Amino acid sequence: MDLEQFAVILSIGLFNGLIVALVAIGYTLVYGIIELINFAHGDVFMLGTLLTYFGLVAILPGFGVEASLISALALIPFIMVITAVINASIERVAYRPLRNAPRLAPLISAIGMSFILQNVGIILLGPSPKAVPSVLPNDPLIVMPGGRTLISLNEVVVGAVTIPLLLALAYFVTSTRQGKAMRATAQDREAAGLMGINVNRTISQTFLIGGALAGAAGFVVALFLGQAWWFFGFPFGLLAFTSAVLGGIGNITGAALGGIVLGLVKSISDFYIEARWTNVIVFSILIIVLVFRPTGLLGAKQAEGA
Amino acid sequence: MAVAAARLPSPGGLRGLARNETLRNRVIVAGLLLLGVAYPFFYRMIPSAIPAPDLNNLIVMSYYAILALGLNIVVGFAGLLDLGYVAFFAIGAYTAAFLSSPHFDIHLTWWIVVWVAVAIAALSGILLGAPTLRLRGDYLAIVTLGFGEIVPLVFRNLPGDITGANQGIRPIDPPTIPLAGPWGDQLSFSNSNLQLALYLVLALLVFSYWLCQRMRDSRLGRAWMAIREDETAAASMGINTVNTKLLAFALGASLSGFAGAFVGAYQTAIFPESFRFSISITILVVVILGGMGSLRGAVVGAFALQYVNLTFLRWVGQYVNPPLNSVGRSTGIEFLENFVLHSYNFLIFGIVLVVMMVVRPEGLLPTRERKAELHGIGVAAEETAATADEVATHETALEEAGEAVTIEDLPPEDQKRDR
Amino acid sequence: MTDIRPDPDPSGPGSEQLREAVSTPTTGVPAQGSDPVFEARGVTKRFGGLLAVSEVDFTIPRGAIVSLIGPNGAGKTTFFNMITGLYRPTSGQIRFDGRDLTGLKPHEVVRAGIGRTFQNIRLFGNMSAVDNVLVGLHHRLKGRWWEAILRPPSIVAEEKRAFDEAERLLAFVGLEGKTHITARNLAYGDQRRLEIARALATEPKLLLLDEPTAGMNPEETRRLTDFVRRLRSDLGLTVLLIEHDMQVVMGISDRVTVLDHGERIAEGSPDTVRRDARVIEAYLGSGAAAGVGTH
Repeated sequence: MDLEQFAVILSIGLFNGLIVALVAIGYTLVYGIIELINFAHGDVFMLGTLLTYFGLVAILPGFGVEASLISALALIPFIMVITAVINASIERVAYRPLRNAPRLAPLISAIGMSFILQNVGIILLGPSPKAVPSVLPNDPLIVMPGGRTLISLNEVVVGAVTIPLLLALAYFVTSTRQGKAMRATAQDREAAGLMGINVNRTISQTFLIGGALAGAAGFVVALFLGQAWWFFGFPFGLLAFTSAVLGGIGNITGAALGGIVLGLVKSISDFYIEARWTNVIVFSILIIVLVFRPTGLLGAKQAEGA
Repeated sequence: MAVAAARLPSPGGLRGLARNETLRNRVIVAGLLLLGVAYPFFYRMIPSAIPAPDLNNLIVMSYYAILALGLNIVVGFAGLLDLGYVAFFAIGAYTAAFLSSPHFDIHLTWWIVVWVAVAIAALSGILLGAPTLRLRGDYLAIVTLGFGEIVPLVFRNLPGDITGANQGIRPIDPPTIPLAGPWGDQLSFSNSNLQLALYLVLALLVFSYWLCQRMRDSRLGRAWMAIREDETAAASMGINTVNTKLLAFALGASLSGFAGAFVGAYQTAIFPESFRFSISITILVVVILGGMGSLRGAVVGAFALQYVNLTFLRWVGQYVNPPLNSVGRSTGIEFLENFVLHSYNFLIFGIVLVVMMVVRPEGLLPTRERKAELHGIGVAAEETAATADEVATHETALEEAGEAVTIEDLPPEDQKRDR
Repeated sequence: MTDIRPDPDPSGPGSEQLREAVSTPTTGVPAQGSDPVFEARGVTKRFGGLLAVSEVDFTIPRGAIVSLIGPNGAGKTTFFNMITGLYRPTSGQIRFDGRDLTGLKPHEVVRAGIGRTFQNIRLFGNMSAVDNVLVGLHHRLKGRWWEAILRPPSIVAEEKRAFDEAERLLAFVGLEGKTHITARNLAYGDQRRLEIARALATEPKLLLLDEPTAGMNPEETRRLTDFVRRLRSDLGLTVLLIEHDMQVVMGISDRVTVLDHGERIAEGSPDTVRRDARVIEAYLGSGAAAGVGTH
């Protein structure tokens, strides 16, 4: 076995996994708090790639700014705010009216929302993938003795965006008032309401956070893959959801770890099996985990899980 | 196809049913069928100003109605959300392709193949359901979604000499009857003879409808609905919930296999790409649009949705697309330039799903049970007493008078209740 | 298709004999001469670190009306759920009618002859009254799925008989004429009755009633109490009640068992239990009820 190649594959998987983790957390946060598989979440992520594309080809040039890594990074907060607001609005329109309906009603509504967002993607981007201007330097950073690049600069950018966000989220959930309100609401919505927590606002906040993380992930993917496409949401969303399930849905640490594990699984499968079998493997993992260990590897809704 | 009012076998429905209601429904069904049979003879005469479906569209509508009836068993009767229903459709179609095509050089007659396809689809339903049916509703939905993705991927990824890979399998033998006449040696029910294919699929639809109706109005149907209403209470009344849900999965899947076997033979070709997640969703939209649990709803929903999808949007598009395209060309807006109305069908489906859930979750042709349930009246459990919601339920009882109970059957004291 | 057993209690002991039997106080060992139809030994349920029911011994003589009482959170419903198979006991054994029921699934428990109602009525709210009862008859009917489709004469006849029996049961609980009313549209008291009819349809030997008078006014409560007596006298049932209304408990029970914090703290005749110091303390101490006997 070619160890250097294996190292490269692990490194690719790790960085992919960090992105998946960002999306997975959005699923897990929402599931933790209202027990809904937010089917539209992957498509909010897709909107992140879309916004990145328009930011780079239209907005920045519109302000006379040249698209570069620095100017692109300046887009992140805007993208995150927009996807956050979109995600929270979706909750308002499509899920909140169904809070007391049978469980399947909001899930079906979420599926509908997913299709609506995909079509927004088609309307704005057209049916085929759009090339995002390449602003990421692809220079090798760490080169192994055999000549293969272990880590390149663009992967560092991925890490530089995702890791601080993951840490910030961990801090928010464990140490801030709102984070505690979120965890309390996840534990027992009724009791949280009785304790004076504004449940609706807390749920909205959860969607804001999930949307913001998905937007950031969309940004990273758009730059990393150099593409924006309306169909990104579905496969990526399923990958992220599988990660959330793998880590124990409702459990934030679990979602992050699950994302990284699946990133690794995906790159290993891509290289050593065949890319076309990767989805079969991912879905099989999803089914096997749900059937044999539905609480995931770390167990659902632990103390730190919202 | 609405014999729905006749809940004959459930004696519960028998007495509440006005006799002229049954008669009226039989007349409607007979009329619709007659229309279907006569349609090939006159549809060409319909002026082009009227967006009438062609025979192919009508056939698609019909097999979607079969698919919707099958999914309705799972989703509507038993209350299990299945997001991978397309898998059984694919399994049925591939079974038909394997057993009657040059692919393996097996040429069984379709009239046998279709039953094999049904059996294999049902078996797959059991294989998927056995380990997963104890999962809670939304987990089950995701597991079925995963299964629905895996099955076509496996058909596509396996080597070509096994499953035909990307190219699919073609040609597939059409269903034939060796009856010689002016048309040749035999009658063939494929896309080379749309009229006969239409008659075949209509017959299959009537058969499927009859099956579903009989199952609904039986001990099994009651058990399904009890599980949908309150699984714990159902188990506490002696129902083996696991087996009963498994039967819903298997019987639902078998109708999908049924439709799949028809579609493979009708198109005389199948491709892995045609069994996408979007098909599962389309069928789900039909079931929800029609009203979960409602047989009439599933059939009417399928015809309505596929009519919009295949006929109406294209017809409107003839008028809408060209002006928008020219506006697009002059303004340089790419979206308008390439605007094709019917390619946004899933936008419409998405809106339908959201709006139906938020505004009218009981569907357009609901069963009275479903309407009451989905309007947030809670699923039997935690309620201590029916209160304000009763008004709504009585409206439903009125609307659905034909379904099981007529308003005359409600004793006066039931129409206004203090607690 | 079996009938509701018409003869009151052919096998069980007469009620005189019973009263004698249960008046022997609080040892928990079934009194001599009684014939326990139900026996729980050392039944324990743990939820994580929480001990919900601890080492409870419990017997029900055949043909008796027995009440299980205790303050809120005493473990009564958990105990019920273990009997009916919704929970599996962490340890201990449950025997019924000579069979070991421990760890059976709910539908198997029903088939063994234990029917139940729920504290917070769990009817199939969107099904008609008669369909609710027909679901209760489910396990006594034979129609398989293919027979549902082919509907041979035997199944048509079976369904007809089932419907007639369901109507008889509805009449028995006082719901005649309400056959086709959707369950959730019934008045509260009628919903309680329908739940009992549905439970009776499962043809139980032992009927578990979880707070059957909850939410009822005194008149409704009185009628229901009489009705429970009829269950024994007309149908020969053994009845286990969870009940908060002490008047009901004291008036109807042959024997009362008191749970507190998952443990059995008293058992015996209503009078014995009423005077038991631990019982009074449990009720007053917990502040849950307005005191034994005055509720």
